[in-house]
Amino acid sequence: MRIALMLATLLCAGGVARAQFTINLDHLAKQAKESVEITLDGELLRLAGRFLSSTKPDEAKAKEVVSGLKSIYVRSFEFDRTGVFSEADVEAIRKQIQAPGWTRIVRATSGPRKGRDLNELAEVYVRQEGGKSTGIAIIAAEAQELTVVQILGDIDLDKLEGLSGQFGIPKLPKAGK
Amino acid sequence: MRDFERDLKEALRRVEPPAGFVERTLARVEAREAVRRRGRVWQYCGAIAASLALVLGGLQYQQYRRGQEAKEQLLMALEITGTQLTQVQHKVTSMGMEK
Repeated sequence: MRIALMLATLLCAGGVARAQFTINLDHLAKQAKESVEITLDGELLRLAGRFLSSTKPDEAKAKEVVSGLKSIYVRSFEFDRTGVFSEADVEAIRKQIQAPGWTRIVRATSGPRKGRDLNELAEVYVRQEGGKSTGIAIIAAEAQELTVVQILGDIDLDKLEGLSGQFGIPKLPKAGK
Repeated sequence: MRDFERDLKEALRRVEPPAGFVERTLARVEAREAVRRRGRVWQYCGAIAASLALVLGGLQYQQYRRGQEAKEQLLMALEITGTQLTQVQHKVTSMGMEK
């Protein structure tokens, strides 16, 4: 029984590890003019949630959203020249999201994307499990900018919508409208 | 001279302490020592309590700093996510959507 529990725990941990980005973008970080690297998971995320005020309206809403989250991964790089990253770098990130359960819901591109001349790209992926959204990932690339966001956990789109207009989150269109 | 010698002898005569004098003296010394020991114990307790308070305070402050940092990172992550979603929304409306 104990062994079965340990195995189940290991399998679950493996599942989470597989779900999270493991890609190393250090080579891009080194060349970036400005970079933001945020990795919040488990304990740190809960700790951050505890420090969000329940009285400030924006933080209170964020607290509600954060309560169901398991991890947040953000890498955002701004370069002082073009051509620092290529389509291959983006493809390596993309490959990590192409796991079972993940679905690309938006792909918007502009400009030449062949070879190294990657211009503008925006992709949004959502992970669905049992009819619930359990993950959202964004890959956004411009000539001199690359941003990767992955949020795992119970993502209540209604609650996320509640953050519209705060923290720069846009008004989200309601499904079916 | 004889009177003087007698007086001196009388003055220097060995006098036995009253019964229980040694016990009473030792008990008093012991009581004083016990008070001193208790004082030392309280001093140690005070020092340990102060050290513990210092360590706990330090840990709490460290936790507070970690929490504040995590909160800042969380808010920045939400900000970046929000900005990216806004930009995606703009791109979707302004550019051709493949899917």
